[in-house]
Amino acid sequence: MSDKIICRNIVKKFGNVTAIDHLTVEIEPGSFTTLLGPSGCGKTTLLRIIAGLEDPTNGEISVGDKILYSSEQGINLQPKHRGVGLVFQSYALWPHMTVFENVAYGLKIKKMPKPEIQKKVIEVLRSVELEAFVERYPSELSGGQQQRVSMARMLAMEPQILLMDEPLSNLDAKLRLTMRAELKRIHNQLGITIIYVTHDQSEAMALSTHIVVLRNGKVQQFDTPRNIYRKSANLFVADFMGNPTTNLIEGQVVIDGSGSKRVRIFGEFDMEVPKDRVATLDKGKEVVIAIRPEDIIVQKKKETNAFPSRIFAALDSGPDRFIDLRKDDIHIVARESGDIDLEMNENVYVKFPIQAINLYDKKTQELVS
Amino acid sequence: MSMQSEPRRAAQSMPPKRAGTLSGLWQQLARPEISLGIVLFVVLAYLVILPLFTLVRTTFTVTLMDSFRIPGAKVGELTLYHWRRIFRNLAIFLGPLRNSIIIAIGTAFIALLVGSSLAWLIKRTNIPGKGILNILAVTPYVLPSWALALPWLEFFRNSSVNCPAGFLQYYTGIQAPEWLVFGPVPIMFVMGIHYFPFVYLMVAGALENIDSQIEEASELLGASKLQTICTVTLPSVMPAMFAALLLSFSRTIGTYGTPALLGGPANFTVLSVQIRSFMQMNLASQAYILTILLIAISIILLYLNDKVIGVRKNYSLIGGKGFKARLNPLGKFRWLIFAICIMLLAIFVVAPLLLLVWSSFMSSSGSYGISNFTLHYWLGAPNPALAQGEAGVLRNPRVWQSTLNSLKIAFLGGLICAFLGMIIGYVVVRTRGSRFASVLERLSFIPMLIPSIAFGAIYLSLFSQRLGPFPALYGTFALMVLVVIGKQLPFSTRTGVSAMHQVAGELEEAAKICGASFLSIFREIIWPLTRTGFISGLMIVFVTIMRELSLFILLMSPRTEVLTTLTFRYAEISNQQLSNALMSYLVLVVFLVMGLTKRYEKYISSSKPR
Repeated sequence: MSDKIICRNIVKKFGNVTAIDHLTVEIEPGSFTTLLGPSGCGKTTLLRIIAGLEDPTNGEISVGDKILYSSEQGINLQPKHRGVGLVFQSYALWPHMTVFENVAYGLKIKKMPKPEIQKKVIEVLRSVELEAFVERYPSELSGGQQQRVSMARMLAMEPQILLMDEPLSNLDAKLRLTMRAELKRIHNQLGITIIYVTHDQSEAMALSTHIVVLRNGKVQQFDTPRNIYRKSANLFVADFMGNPTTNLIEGQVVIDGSGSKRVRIFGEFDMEVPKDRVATLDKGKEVVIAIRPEDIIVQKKKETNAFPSRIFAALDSGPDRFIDLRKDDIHIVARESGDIDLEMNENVYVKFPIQAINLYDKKTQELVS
Repeated sequence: MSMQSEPRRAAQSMPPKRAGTLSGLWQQLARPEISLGIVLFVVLAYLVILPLFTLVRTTFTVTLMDSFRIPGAKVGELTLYHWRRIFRNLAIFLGPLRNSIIIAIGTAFIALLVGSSLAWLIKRTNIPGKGILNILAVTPYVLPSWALALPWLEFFRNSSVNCPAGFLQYYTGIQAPEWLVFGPVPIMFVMGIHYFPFVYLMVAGALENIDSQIEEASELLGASKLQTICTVTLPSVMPAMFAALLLSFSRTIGTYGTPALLGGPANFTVLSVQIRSFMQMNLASQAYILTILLIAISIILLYLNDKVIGVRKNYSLIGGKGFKARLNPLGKFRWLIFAICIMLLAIFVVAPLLLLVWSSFMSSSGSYGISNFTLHYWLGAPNPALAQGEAGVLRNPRVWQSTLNSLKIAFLGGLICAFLGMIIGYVVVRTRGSRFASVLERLSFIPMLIPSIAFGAIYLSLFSQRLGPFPALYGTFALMVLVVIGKQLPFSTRTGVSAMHQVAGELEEAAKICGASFLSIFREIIWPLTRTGFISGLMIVFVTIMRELSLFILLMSPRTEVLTTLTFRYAEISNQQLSNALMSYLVLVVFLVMGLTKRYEKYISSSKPR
């Protein structure tokens, strides 16, 4: 049984530095919610605050009806009363204890009878495929195995909420990918709420049901991965998500011959944009067009809606080809199929499909919707 | 957006408080490192600050003895009497000061010369027999600092200075001049020999860290071997040499044993000896004024050391792991130089100890022949004609009692000190970076600034009276243990901090999340991981205290006699053979203790499953 986790108006200051700035977020029970952002955005701090290892300067945290922390009411539950488990980035396994002792530690404290502890530990280790390693010491395990023991140790406590602090960042690339699949499977099997911290946006996209994008202690966007990718709430999110990064081109709103609004880019080309979006904007308004590389169409055929450009470089990448275009000083990257026949210095035409364009107010950096 | 409803389940029974500094402070106290830290502050204030303060205050106070000398003065009131007296008779104070400085300079230079040369020979040349040279180079430091004063006297004393014939006179008839028997020259030599290992270790360490490629670069550019040494090698080692110089200077300025034994008969008095004289004449306040002087000098020296070395800390080019230091070939003189070194070391390190043992088997001073051989001073029953009626070392109840006292004080002091060091280490590491942590650390390092004899004086001044609920501790076992804890605190703090560094904070946090209380975290997580650090801290204190004299000399009383003070007192009253026997015994005990602790440490570290 999981309840909604609500963090309300969390403020965390370290001296003069505000790490978390009036943050409010509601996490759905049973979801896999990732706190995503660059270093220093406050994601790990928020995780530790939820765990009870650090106290916010102000705010409130509740799980359903149960209040974990409230600065107003002077409530501050100890970690052991919060029903959370925390998997550390460094795994934090106790080096002088065997795998069994590590996993059994919390159960011993709960004064569970020995045979039950035995059963539970084996069961949990089996679920992470490590039951053969019960008597080993952490120093005798590989990174991936240590990571799984760290998870097993917390899962044995059967927490309502599992917190994970960049658990995969110490693993090599290949192992990271395999572990992603494992994590998704575990989440599906157990049905608990997972709050996950990472700076890797592709990892966040792959694993999460919801993503909270953070920057300087403030929520930039809270939505499903798909929406965050497709309809980024502001330029920061748009730029942070995706690899290679999205293309951002500045322009102004103009009125064309037929009276409809368009966006003039490069000072000369009037791009057609979604009507409902641009309707709210006045003429002359400075905007930024955002379009993902995979949506751009590069072709040799001239069309009215395509602007001319020259290929700066064409970079092969197996199934894809990255076409690097330069127009004036602006850098545009398009991702095309690997078989396409385009070479350096070719003159081509570039088309932005209307439905793929997102418009952003240049001053406020927000999405125009 | 759902709003939070009335809290139906506030699982913690904390009364509702307004958010703000008060509840914040309360939460801070709940953290174990904060509440422990506060307790530590109190303990350290009691162990470090209060004694110092009392020392200074006593110099401004009228004591019981003074009330007889100062007309109309009442015991306990403030006065400048003592200070005025010292300034009126500056000779009392300038003389010893000058003498202390003289021997400190002399000792430091001898130690520097011998230590650096040895370091260079062993680390930078292809001299043979490095293993044995290394051992011999370190040995003198292991012995009590005044251990070699006894064999020196044994060797050089002669009838021209009103002493029974020493070894030299006995076998060659040569009567060494007085300045060679007593006074600054012997003091500097004996202390120089004791402290050169110290310099050797520091300079050797620096030499090891020099990347020989900088020397090779110099030679490739055309410099001769000598030029390279002067312009490249020497400057790189300078900081270490300078630090060693300063440190040995600050150590020697407060040493008691050797200057007392070798300076007294020549009326060569140093500060530390004068301090004790004043104490014995019941002029405590005067003694304390001299102590303050000693402390001030020490602080200045250590401050200088910090300033000078701190700036140049980046001088040592630390080579990466695995680079080989290039050795300078000594050519055909290799074995000759080795032989000279061994001979010198044997003469100044090994031979004295042998002489010591030999003379303890001589029934009367002045004769070293086999005919004089006796086991009396080791195994004999009390005989009023010999050794002032004392039984032989191994049969003497006082010897056994003081051995026991030494062991108990060293062990108990070491245990408590190491434990304190661990706690301080925990608080400092967990509050790392805060002002709290740095103040705590600095407090625990203050005893380092105070020479041992001064430290003893400080504790005497504080604890010889009642202190609130605590009775006067003068002459008690507790006082000896306390002074050990106070003086060795800097070392055990260092060990404690580095041990705690090994235990990452996350290991504790993971246990917290699993629901463990602080006590069970300490018992099951922290202790097993810092156990070896604790034990090595304990062992260091134990071994150091077993041979310590200056710390205890002012505090000792018949009940709390330790082996070192017992030996010294016999030497002081010229009970030669007995003191020589005792010193040999003491050296043996120290070696035994060191050997055993090394064994034990090896055993402990090999049985860990890390």
